[in-house]
Amino acid sequence: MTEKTKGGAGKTAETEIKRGIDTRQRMINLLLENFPIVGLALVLIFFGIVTKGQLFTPYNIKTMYSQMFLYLLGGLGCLYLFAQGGIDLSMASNIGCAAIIGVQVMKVNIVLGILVTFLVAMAIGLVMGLLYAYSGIPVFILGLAMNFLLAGLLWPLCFGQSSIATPLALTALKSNTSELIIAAVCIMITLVIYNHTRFGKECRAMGAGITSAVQSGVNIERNKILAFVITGFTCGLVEVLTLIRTGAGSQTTGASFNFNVMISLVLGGCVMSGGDGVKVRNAIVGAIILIVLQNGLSVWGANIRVQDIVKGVMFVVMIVVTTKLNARVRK
Amino acid sequence: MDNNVILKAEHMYKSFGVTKAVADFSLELERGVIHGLIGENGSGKSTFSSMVAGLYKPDSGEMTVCGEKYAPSSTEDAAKRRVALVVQEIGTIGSVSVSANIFLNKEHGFSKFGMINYARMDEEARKILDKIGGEHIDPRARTESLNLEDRKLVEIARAMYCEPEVLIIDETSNALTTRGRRILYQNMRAVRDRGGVVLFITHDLNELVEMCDSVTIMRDGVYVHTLMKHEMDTSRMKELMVGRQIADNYYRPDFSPDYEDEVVLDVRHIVSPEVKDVSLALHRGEILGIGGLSESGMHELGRILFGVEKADSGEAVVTASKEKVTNPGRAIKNAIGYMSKNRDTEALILGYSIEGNICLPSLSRLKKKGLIFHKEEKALADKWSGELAIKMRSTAQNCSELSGGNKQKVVLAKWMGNDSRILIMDCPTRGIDIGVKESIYKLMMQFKKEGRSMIMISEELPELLGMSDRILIMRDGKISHEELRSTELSEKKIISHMI
Repeated sequence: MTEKTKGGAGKTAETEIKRGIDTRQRMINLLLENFPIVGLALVLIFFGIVTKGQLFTPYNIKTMYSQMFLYLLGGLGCLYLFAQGGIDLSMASNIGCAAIIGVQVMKVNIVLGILVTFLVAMAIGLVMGLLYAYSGIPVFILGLAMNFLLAGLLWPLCFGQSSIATPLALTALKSNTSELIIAAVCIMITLVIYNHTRFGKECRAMGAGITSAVQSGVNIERNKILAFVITGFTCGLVEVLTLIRTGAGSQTTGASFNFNVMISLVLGGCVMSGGDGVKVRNAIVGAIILIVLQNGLSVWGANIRVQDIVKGVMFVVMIVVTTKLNARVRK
Repeated sequence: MDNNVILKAEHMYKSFGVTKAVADFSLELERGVIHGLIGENGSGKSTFSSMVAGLYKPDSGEMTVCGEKYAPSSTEDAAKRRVALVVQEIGTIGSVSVSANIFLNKEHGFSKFGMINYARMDEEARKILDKIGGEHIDPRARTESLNLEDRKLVEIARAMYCEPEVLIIDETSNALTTRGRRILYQNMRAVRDRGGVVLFITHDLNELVEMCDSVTIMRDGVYVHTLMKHEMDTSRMKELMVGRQIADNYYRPDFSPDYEDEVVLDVRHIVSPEVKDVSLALHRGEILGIGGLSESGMHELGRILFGVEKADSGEAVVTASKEKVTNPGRAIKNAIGYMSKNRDTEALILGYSIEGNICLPSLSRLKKKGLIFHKEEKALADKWSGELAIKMRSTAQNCSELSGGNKQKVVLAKWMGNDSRILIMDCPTRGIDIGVKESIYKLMMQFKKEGRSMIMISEELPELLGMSDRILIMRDGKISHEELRSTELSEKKIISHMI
C-alpha cells in the first residue's frame, strides 16, 4: 500500500532495502544449510590432527566407508518419517526379527529367503504405521514398545541358537563395488522421491504444521503408514546386506541400529520436530560425521564407553543448535 | 502539568532484522486517560506496547513511569512498576487452574516453606474475579475448560491484580462478545477513574471513539498524529492510518441479490453435536453469508462442509461431481477451499515459505511427468501472490514474517492456486486492518464475477450485510432465519434472530 503513495525515488530506495534484506536472509540460510558440512570439516580436521593423520590411512577409510554404508541407508529410509516429526525406534528389533526368519528360509531357497526378509520387515513397518496413524500413541513410545516386543520374540525364533549361518551363496555376493552402487542408487532414489513428489513434500509439511497440512488436503494417515512401510523396507535392505557381509543372522543383528540412525540424522543437522529442516544431504553428512566421530575416537585411543559419552554429548549439542538456528530463521 | 505524566516514552526504536518495527516513537500519557493507539497491522503498535510491558527490549530510547526511569526486563518486572498488558493472543495456560493463571509468577506470595497454599490462592482469585466482573468463573476450574471469552477475562483479572497504573489492552476486544466487552470497558474505566492510564489498541474504530479520550495513530513504525476526543472522526482516522483516502463504504455497491440458479453445493440435513439439522444450497456466483453468535454452530458447520469435522448424519454434495464431502482431501479435489478462522494454526504453516503454503494443496496439479519441480511451484506462487498483491520480499519469505492481512492473502492465494470454485471463509477479515480488508472484499467481488461461490461465516454484521447475496442466521445449531440482500436489511433486524 505504501508503494502507491511514494514516488519513483521512494521506490528505488525500497528496492535497495529489499535487496539488502534478501542478501542477509540468504546468508543466514546459507549458514544454516551448510553448518553440518562445517561441522563435518571440523570433526575431520580435529581427528586428523589428534590421530596424527592415522585416521585417514587407506585401511581406516575403507573401514569407515563400510561402517557408514548401513547407517547411510538407514538414515535415508528414515528421512520421510523424520520429516513428519516421527522416528522409528523399532528398527533394531525389526532387523533382528527379519534376519532370523529370513535366514531360516534362506536355508531352503535364497531368493525366497530374501523375499521373506523384506516381507517380514515391511509387515512390521506396516503394523507400526497403522498404529502410528490410528492409535494416537506417541511415536517414541510406540517404537520402544515394539522394539521390546520383537526382541522378546527373537529368542524362540532362534530355536536356542545364538546365531544362524547364511548359505555361502549369499556371502559370495559381498563386494565393495556393489555396495557403492547400491548407496548411489539409494541416494538418487531418495533425492527424487523426497524432493520431487507429493509424498515427500507432504511429509515435510506434516512436520511443519500438521493441522494446516490436514486442511490443505494432506492425507496424513496414508503418509504416516507409507513412511513406516519405507522404514520397514529399509530394515529389510539393511538386514540382507548385513547377512551378505557377516554370513550369519543372530539376535544381535541390528542392535542399537535405531539409535545410531537417529543420532546420525541429528548430527547431520536434521531437526527433531521435522519439517523443512530435514534434508537428504543432512542424512548423508550425518552418517559420515557419526562414523568419523566413532572411528576417530577409537583410533585416538578412547574406549567404547567414552565414544558413547561423546556421541551423547554431541547429540544434545546438535539438537540445541538445530532447534535454535531454525527458530532464528523463522523469526 | 508534568507531575501528571505517568508514562513517558522517548525516541523508542526497535528493529527485527532489517525491518524497523518502531522508529523514533515518543508518547506521553497523563493520569486519568484512556488513550487509543491505532494503525494498520505491522504499523508497530503491538511492538511498542510490548516494549512498555517488558516483553521486548527496545534497541534504544528511554521510558519513565511516574517520573522514574523505567526499563523493564520482563513482564514481572513491569508488573512491579504496575504496568500490565492484556495480549491479543491467548495468554493463559490451559492445563492449570484459573487461579494459577492469575497468580502466575506471583505464587511466592502464597507460599510457606516452599509449599503453596492453594486454598488461599483460590480465595484471593475469587475476590479479584468478583471485582472485575468474572463472578461466573470458578477459580479452581482448569483454564482450558473455559471458553475463549472467559479465558480473556482471566487475563484481565491477572492484569488488574497488580492494580495497574498503566494498563495496555492489545486488540483484546476482538475475542469478546458484547458482555465480555462490557466487562473489559468497565475495568478500563476503573483504571482511569483511579488515576491510572489505559493504552487501548483496537481495530474497531467505533469502539475506539466510544472509549478513548485521545488517540495516537502510527504508520510503518512511526508517529503520525494524535487526535483529541472532539477531533476523532472515523474517516479521518482511517485516512491517517492508511496514508490515503479510503472510501467510507468499501462493501459492494449493489443492493440486490445477484447469483445464478445453478446449485453448486447441496447440503442436506447435517447433524453434529453443535449443528442441528441444517440444510442449505449454495449457488453459482453467490456469496452466502452465515451469521450468528460464536456458539451458534456456524463455525462447526463450516468445518463439516470442508470435511475437517465429521457430521453424525447428513451430507454435503458437490453438484458437479455428485461426490459427498467426507474429508479435506475430497473437498479439495472438488475445488472447495476453506479458510479457517484460526489462520496462524490451521490455515497456514507459519514456519513455511509463502511458496510452500500456496503450493501445498495444488501439488498433484503441478506434476510434470510425475514429478514436481521448483520451477512450476515458483510460477504458481508468483502468479497468485502477484495477483493478490501480497506485500512481501519474495515468495521464499516465511509466512510468520507477514502481517495478519497479508497472511490472509496467502491463504486466499493458496485456494486460488488450486482454482477453487467454492470457498468457505470463516471470519475472513478477523483481525485484519482496513486497507487489506478493503482489498479482500474487492477480491471476493472479483471471484463472484468469475462464477465462484463463497460461504462467508462471520461474526461481523456490517460485513455480512455489506457483502452477502443471502444471509442465513444460525441460533443454537439451527438456521433461525434467512434474508435476501436488500436495502431494508438492518443490523437490528438480524440481531433479533441471533439471540
